[in-house]
Amino acid sequence: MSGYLSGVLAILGINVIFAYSIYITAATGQLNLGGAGFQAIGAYACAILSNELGLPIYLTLIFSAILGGAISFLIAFPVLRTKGVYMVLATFAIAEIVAGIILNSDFLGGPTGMIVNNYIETEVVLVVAIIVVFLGFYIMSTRIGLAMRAVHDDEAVADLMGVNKRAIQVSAFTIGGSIAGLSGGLYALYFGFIEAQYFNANISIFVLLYVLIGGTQTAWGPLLGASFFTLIPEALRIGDDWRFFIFGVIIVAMMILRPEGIVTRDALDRVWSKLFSRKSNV
Amino acid sequence: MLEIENINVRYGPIHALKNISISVGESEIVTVVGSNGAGKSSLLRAIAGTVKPSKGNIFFKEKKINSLSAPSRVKSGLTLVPEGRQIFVSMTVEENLLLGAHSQNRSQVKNLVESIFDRFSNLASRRYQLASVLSGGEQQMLAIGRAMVAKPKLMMLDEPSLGLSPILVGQLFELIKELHSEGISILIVEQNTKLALKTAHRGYVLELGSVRLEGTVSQLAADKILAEAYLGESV
Repeated sequence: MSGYLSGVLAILGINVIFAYSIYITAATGQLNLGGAGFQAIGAYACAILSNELGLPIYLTLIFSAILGGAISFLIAFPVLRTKGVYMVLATFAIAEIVAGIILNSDFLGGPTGMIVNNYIETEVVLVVAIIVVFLGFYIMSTRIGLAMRAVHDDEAVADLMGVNKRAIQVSAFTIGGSIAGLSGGLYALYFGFIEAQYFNANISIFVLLYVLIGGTQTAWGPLLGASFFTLIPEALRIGDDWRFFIFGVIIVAMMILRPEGIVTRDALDRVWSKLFSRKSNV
Repeated sequence: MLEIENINVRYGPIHALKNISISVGESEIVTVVGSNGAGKSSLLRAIAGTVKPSKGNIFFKEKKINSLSAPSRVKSGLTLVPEGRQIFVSMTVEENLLLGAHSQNRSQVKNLVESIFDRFSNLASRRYQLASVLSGGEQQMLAIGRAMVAKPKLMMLDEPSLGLSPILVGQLFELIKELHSEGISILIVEQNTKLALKTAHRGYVLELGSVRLEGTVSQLAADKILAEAYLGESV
């Protein structure tokens, strides 16, 4: 495998994992625009545990996920009191606070960043990505996943069905933070260097776009959205300076043609019907 | 089974329910009728736990449930089939039923859902289809099926006949009688007063958030004011 391809696949793997962190939260109807903050928490946790304590790679990744999840759990209670655009702003503010803490902390390397002593190969990233994708599909196939969709579609009716919406929302936010932390840990270990400037608002916006363009209705959405956003710009390199213009046009076209995202339940249902001859009686 | 004592519900300056007291006994069908804005849906929402009363008490199976959340009330056997069905159109028929059984033990869920498919064959044939493709009558069946899988002791139905053809309304009320014969107490809020009084044992007439009349259906049917205002009969 060439170095270029290996690099693209590693970034794809990290982006897919990151996308599932935001998707799990979005599946309950909450938009998290602070993804970069939770990813940064995982990345810095992984770097410190590797550098200071010399923990093995798998343990640093587990702790990255645990710390991302633990902080998300604590933040979930005040954040989930907000709704809609206010929640988007609250999560965005959290990411800014995280970046501010890192930039002002000598222990965390401040603006100069931090070198990570451990290193992982692309294959590790891809294996973890595959596990996270399966986890995403598994969660959405369980009764918890069904309850998450119900809360997403109509909180009041979900309540009447016996769904504890607050518990579902907090759980989703926590799992999302945990997966974002894991993606941060993988990023730190793969690139060997982290800095606060990388975990900026653009990263949070892009990962949210992966999910929204991919579609929030099914677990296929983040996989396709992250792949689309990672691979299309690479494929468009042949367009030289025009590649970001072309990519922008493609995104606008996608939003017009598929406002609910690339994969919707309706579209998936039609595909399943064709594949398994479940003829619709409509 | 259900005792409501002097409950009041306020939405800001609007006093939607004023000292309402009603009851539903074991295996009883009780109806609440009234015009738009009388407070019928607010009453059901307060019982279901999605609206908090500002005053008054709600007892279910002799336990005060004021502080119980809506999901806990479902678990205790109190379900509401909301106005307009409110099924999840982005889910399949089966998923809607599975969701209805959310409060039940995992081991029972499959049997509960299958029992609904055994009962409603047209839902069974559309099991894997999105609920959005169902007709109005099928959607109402699904909404009732979804409430049934929660194993209710008391089922509340908010305007179940809304938007259904007369034939379907007749079938729906037959189904309600069937559920009652299986031991489920029923509280129906309905604008179709004639049909509601024909099906129920007792009833209440709400007007501007207060109970205007109450009694057995024969007493209510004989009331001149009710006959004139809600049954369309000039006295």
